[in-house]
Amino acid sequence: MYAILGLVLGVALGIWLQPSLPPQVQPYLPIAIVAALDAVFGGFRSYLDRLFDDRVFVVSFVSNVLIAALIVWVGDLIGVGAQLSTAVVVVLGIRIFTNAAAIRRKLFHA
Amino acid sequence: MRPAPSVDAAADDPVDAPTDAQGRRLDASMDLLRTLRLEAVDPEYAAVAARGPRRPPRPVTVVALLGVVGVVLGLTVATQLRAAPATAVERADLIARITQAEADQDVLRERAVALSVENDALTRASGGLDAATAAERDRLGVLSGTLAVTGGGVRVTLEDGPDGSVRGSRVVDTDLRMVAHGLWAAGAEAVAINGHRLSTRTPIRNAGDAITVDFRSLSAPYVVEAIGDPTTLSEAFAASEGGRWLAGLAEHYGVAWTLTQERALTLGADPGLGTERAERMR
Repeated sequence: MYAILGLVLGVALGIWLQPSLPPQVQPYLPIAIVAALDAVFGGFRSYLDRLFDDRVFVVSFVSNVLIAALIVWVGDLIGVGAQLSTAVVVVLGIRIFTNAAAIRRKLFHA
Repeated sequence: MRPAPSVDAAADDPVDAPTDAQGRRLDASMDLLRTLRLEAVDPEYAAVAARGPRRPPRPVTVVALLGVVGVVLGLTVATQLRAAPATAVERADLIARITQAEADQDVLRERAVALSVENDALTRASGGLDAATAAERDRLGVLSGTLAVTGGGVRVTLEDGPDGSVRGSRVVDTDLRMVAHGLWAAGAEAVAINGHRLSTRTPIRNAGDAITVDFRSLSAPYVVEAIGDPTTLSEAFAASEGGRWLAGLAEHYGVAWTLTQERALTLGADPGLGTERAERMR
């Protein structure tokens, strides 16, 4: 219940305030979002498995986002940012698809 | 007690995968993809679940954590709210400063023109030059752009394409450069763009969305005037690379351009052509 309320509040705040990222961190936002999505799908799947744990979810969410952004940032510094972005997207993409497939099996038994 | 960890993971992992003599899987060296699939859900979920229910945190901890989160959120919101008007104010200030600087530049430029005209008149009046030197001076002034010139020639007018938002339909610095080069190649003796006389020290370049000639931004329509024999100029320009470039622009991007022959054109001088550091090599 509180989670839903918080979600609604966050969306409303986002629409109302239109927060803008500092331009220095803007290149890392897409990767961070993909990482966050991965954490969300993982959390949802574990919820369906009745294994969900809020602490694990929060830690994996935050650390996923930070590490993904950090990898791309370091990559940018050493000149392989685009390649590392691709690597992150591939790895997280596979995880997201696997989890999505598992969620689909759980929900629709198909 | 919670149920055992994910059954899906077990179902995805073929237990009877072929193994070698040491009992290692044959695909052990390609473990990455398998691991990715099997550990799609962070294993910590299962580990924590296996550990059994947690003791709920003490209320003090919850309150403290919520307080920290609230402070961070509040700070973010406050910065956002305060930063927005600040950006607008800064922007307006910048625009005002740019406008002011451009106005100052115009004044200085006019003054430079007036001074160079006066300088010229004084040099003549002083009688320090003999007739031959004065004639040579005039000739060089016309060539280099330090003297205003008049004569017949052609006028090329360029207008942005019908939809300015379409990539390439706006006239850019390259287009004006091609036109100017085409006119020089066609035999122009003096060229000016929107009244800015071209000399050896006149850059034509893009700055942001605008074309600048001699560091002044222009706006459409772009008028390129060239002094020379009108007929020769117009024919040779059409055949030059600049003319073909314009034809291409008109065909592909809808850039409208016209070339008219003019009986009398007046091109101003390019002020500020004096040198301070450069000296003749001996």
